[in-house]
Amino acid sequence: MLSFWDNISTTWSRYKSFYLIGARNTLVISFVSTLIGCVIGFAVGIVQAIPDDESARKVKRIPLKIVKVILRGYVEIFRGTPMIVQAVFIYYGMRMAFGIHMDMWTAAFIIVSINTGAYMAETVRGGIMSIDRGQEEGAFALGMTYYQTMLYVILPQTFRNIIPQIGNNLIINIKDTSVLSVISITDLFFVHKSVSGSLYNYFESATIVMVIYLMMTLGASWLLRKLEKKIDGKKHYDLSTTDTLAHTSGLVRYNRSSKK
Amino acid sequence: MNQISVLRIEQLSKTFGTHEVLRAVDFELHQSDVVCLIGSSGSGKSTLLRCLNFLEDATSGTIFYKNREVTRYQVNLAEYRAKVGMVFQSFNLFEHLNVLKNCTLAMEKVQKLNKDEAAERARFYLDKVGMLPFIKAKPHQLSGGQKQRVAIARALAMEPEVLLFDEPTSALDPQMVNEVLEVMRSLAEEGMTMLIATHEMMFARDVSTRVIFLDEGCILEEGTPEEIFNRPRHERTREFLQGMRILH
Repeated sequence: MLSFWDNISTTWSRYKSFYLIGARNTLVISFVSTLIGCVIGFAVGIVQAIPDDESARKVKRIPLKIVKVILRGYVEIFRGTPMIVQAVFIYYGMRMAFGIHMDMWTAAFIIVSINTGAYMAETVRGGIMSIDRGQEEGAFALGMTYYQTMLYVILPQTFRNIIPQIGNNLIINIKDTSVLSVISITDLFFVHKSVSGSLYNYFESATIVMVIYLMMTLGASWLLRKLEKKIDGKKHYDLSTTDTLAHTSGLVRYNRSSKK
Repeated sequence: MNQISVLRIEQLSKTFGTHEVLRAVDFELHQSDVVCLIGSSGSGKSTLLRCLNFLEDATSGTIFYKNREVTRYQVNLAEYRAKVGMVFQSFNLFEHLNVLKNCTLAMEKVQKLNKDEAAERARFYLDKVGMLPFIKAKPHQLSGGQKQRVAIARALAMEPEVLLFDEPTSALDPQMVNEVLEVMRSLAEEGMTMLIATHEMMFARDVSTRVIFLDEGCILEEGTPEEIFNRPRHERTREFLQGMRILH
């Protein structure tokens, strides 16, 4: 057992910089791609959620339907096939079929982003549908248009509600970028394969890599919790009143920092 | 009596599938009228109000606003809706915004007021409904009565010509009903034109200039509160009022 810990510590001290580079690459790809994936997901989800207004004119309805079918195809294809196959398909396929020599980093960002986008699209659509119809009616009754209502009323609430799901996607991406080693991305898993391949210390290296992955995912969920809290704002509110008697009631708080 | 027509509907019908909710309803709302719509659940009160605000599209019939025909596609719907405010049974405050922003959002986006103007106007109307101290609160931190008063201030801040109330007190605890009715009473006294679907018979009797009894999608009876509550002409009206323990 002693030799196990010794092996870990020697592996770590010798290959520390490689593991850290791998971890950095994993983090960069997963954070950036989750972000781009969210943008794609919101765009697709918003279009998918546009109601098919039967009273609208056909000129408007048919193009919308075509776009929706295309987007539906995108979601189904990328949700329904393994990312490892998509990676090979896009990276090597583009080269074979179109002669496009894509940089493997570009390929990595594209693959993870459009994959996340496909999942997020459904999440966003579900999030939009879960907002009470009263919110929309409240906005319409004040004269807001469909797009204003979406932008200022529905989407902010949708975003808040799907943060846990964005967190899920981020964590999944941190782990699943490991499949990108098939296109030689030097992510954390790729480093593990190289190190263990040369030293035959599979167990020790895997232990190190497990701990690093876990630290990254825990960090990611902590960050998203913080974001949720920030959006929710304060749990209590301050009464705003000029009634000086209320100042003694304890219901009015002073902003200390602004008084200094 | 002031006879400027604000809203007029002619032969308004609405069907959901095969279910006829409104059957060729005609009526007119004049400036400073306070008209209460009464009738049992399912008689079409809410649907009538929702059609007037185009939250539902009427199956047939015409709506006139100040003697101009209004259809979903011909008028500027946003402008019309800003002039015909609506207060809902379920408040429909924007859950993610505080009280002040709930009021200012539409002023800024629809009426293109700048932030300060909007905030000033919002404060004025929030003060009117007694909710000024709560401008920093989020809707979920307020009681039902407080939420409804904010919703009224939000509608008023658009400075509408008419306010439609869709059973504004039906979702409230009994002790909160009064604080909302008091606000509505003072609006009526100031001459606000209002169309109110309600089950609050005492309020309808005290405040309205006219009462409409809706039954199965038709206006069965229309008259002064005195006429409707003391001398109903129709058997159905009498039965309804007896059911509500107004008429013995």
